[in-house]
Amino acid sequence: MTLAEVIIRLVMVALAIGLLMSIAPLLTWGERKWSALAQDRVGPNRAAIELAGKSITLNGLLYPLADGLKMIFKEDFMPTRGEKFLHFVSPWLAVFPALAVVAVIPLGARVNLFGHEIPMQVADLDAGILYLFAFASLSVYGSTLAGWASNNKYGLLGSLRTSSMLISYEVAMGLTLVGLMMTVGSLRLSDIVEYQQGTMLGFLPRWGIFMQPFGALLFFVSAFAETKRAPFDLPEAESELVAGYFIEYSGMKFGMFYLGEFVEVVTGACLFAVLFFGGWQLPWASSEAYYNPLVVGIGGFISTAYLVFFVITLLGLPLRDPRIQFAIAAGGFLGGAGLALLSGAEGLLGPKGGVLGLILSNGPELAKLLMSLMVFTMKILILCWFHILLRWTYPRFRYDQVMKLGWKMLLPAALVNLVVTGIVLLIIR
Amino acid sequence: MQEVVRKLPTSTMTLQMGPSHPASHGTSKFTVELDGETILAIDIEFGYLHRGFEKMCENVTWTQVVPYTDRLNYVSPLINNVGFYMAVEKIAEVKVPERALYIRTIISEMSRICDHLTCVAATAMELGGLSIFFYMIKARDRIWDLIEDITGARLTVSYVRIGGVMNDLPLDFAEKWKPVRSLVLAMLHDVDVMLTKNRIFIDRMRNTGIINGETAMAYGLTGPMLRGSGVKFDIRKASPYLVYDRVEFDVPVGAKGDNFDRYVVRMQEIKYAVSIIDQCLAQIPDGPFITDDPRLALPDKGSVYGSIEGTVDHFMHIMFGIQVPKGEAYSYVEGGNGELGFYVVSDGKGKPYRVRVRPPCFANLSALPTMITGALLADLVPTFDSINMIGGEIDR
Amino acid sequence: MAESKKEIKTYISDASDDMTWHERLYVPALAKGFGVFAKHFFRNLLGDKEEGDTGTIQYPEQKIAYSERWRGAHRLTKRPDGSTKCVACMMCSTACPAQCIHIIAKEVDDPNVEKAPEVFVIDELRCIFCGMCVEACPKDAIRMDTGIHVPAMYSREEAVWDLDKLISNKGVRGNV
Repeated sequence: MTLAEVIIRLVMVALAIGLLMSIAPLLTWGERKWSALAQDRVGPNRAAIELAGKSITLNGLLYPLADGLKMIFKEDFMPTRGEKFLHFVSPWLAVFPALAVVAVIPLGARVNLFGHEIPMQVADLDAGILYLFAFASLSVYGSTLAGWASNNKYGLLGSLRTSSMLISYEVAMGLTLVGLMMTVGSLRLSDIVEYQQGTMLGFLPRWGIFMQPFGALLFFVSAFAETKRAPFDLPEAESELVAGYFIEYSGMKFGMFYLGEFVEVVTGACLFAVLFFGGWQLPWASSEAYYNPLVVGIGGFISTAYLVFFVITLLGLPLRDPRIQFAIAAGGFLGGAGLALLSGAEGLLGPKGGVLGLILSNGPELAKLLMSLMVFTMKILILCWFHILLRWTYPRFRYDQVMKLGWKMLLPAALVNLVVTGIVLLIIR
Repeated sequence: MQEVVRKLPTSTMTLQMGPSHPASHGTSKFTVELDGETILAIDIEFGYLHRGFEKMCENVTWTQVVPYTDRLNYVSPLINNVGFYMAVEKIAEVKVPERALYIRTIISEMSRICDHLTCVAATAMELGGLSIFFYMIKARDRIWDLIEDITGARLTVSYVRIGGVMNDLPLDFAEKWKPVRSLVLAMLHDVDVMLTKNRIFIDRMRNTGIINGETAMAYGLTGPMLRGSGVKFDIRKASPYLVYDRVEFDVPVGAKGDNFDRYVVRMQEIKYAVSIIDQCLAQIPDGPFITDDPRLALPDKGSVYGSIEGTVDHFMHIMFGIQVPKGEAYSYVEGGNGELGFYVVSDGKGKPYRVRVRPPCFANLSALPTMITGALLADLVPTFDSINMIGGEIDR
Repeated sequence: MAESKKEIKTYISDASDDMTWHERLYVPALAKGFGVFAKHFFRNLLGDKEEGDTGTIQYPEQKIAYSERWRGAHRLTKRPDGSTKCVACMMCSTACPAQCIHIIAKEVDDPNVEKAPEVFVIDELRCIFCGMCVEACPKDAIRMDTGIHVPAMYSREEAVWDLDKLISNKGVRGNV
């Protein structure tokens, strides 16, 4: 490995962790504000910083910060007759697997910049999906040991529920993906994304969700269960078990469970986007379309406008205001035009020398990189929004009902999906 | 081949739930014996909110009891007000003016809506559907706004007086009711879509906490609990009081007596309550809102300020209280959770001699062990919620 | 807990037999439910903040107008000369179910008034805001129309409001 490659890998690690760690706290904000909007409330908006006599609240965006501070300075309570070492170690066991999953996720298109090939992925493993499953099953330990180490009856019940539920859903989750693996013919996530370009049946984007609609639904349910959020939140079932497996945790240890949950939401959204929503691919377009300035322009417009819109909802500005609507349109236009220019400038102007020439000659690749990153972020954000809103809509299952759903409905359905996929593939090929 | 059955040497686990546990709202405590997650035995402990309502009533005048009744079932205080003074009026043989009867019916039904909204909202919340809680509580708050308009307080209303009510309805009440009405109905529709056909909800509610009609009657259950079990008994129909014989409504009943039936009964009753209020507003006559019997009602302020007779009358009222004649009476109203009864004894000395409340929750809660033993721990939550135990009422 | 030895019929409830096939499928009803939820979300997100149906009041900055009958903290009304209308007749303290009003009367030289309160204190922490004192007053001297919630206090003494404090309270609708 050359030095450049090492640097590229390190940058990728930073990017992946950075993306995860910036979206996850944002989601704690989102969970409060988005659920508030849907529940006809305003949501928290009082955390403020006093600056020059004015208090700045940023529409509640300071809450993740305030939470972090509070958790760090809170007393770290340890039950007297608990298992000290396991009690200490299990929050880490809960967060680490969730973070590690992101290593194999392609965040953007593989590009060739300044003479180096850059995969937008920490590690492009052959057995990417197997790696995912391996780490997903490791996450059981965190919550199981947490409840067991706490010397608390509620915690014990919670951890028993967690271990049985997570292990059951792992089976279903694995099987639902086999259909997709068969269709694509690879376990490598970058291959799966590459495969999802262009159209199928003439009018649908060739995305996993259209190739495997049933599999996508089943995977979504089982991945949802893996995050242990309502309606699958029976390990922590507030009204029965108070807080379930983390009942005896306070301070930053609790914070890590809390953060771990949101990291799992983000990685879940990443996975779903990669497997079923074409990753960084544009709908209907082949990955070559990223070199077409017109496509980049339109795609850039949409994704930049969405990101501007997202930031505006973050700040809670009124969307009815024509100035705000203009800002969204202008942001989208600037983004689209900028990317299109970057992509197509060399073709228009011809080769140039110096720094400008270097940038221009790498322009199409650079545009592809930025664009694919933006498209992927947009998909993640939308999926996270969906994921978070779902949590607030439904009542939770009962323990035996979750088991029944997992073993008696998802598992057979996944097997049926597998058989049908196999038959269809045999007929087509 | 001979089958060998060996039992693992296991022991049961005793779990103390409450008194401050998220599910035991209204401060009660369950001592549950669990085999895995199956409830083998449950012991319910309450009384954490005991304030001695019945004894306190003996030390105040008849008028001063009303703030205490507010604090019985604090989700529907107006029904308690009405219930208590109906017992007093039975002893004193008061004729309550027509308009007051209608006002009392309207406020009772508004309270009933609040009560059922709170119960269904709490059930949904404890099952994890927090949004439904917010939708319903928002509607309840709009009703409380109306109650504030009528009575001057949102919760501790102290509104009913012997022979009538404290104040007339506000002039714009019918107008203000309209948006609230449509909000409540829209919210009911939303909740209906989100819950009634939702399999997760059905799974949690149906066939859990079953009590059949016979057992229910044996335990003395009333209200939605009894109707959920298929017994068509509603005091408003069985022994119409106020103006319930002049309005049209039906008594919804369930089939099995499980939590889902009780949920459906409550949702239906909210709709009927809305329709009862509409009918009352259409029928309500003009006239006095409190009896003109000078022995029972305070004289009006004009005569107190202006005439010596009025002032003396007023002073006598306040100093010695209303003189309810010797006698005793039991009155019953259909409260949010069932038959709310007041047994009142008067010795003619200006104060209640004895007051006894029959809180519907008390009987309802006593059936919980029958309903829950053998089921799973998670079933305790919807079952307990559908009983709708109110601490203030059960502990008095 | 004694009956745990006895044989107990345990059961796990199952409702699937009573369901129609599309109820069993979870998805249609769940999708509809999510639709309602998302409808609320977008109505509140895209709608005008003022007209949107969030019921929230941003309390210290924004206050709702109380209804006309709303019972708040007490005040004593005044005569045109600024003295209290109260004639220390003790009606309110008699009618009070919480016994939170304490009055000591004094003689006044004015032949039209004769009596006035020397001491008139209301313990606002004991008060249950039932409004019976207002009903009992034969002189329209005490009212609860100040629109004041009794605020949180640092000591019990602060909650005992005396004559001066009660007279200085103002009514929401004019200061009679």
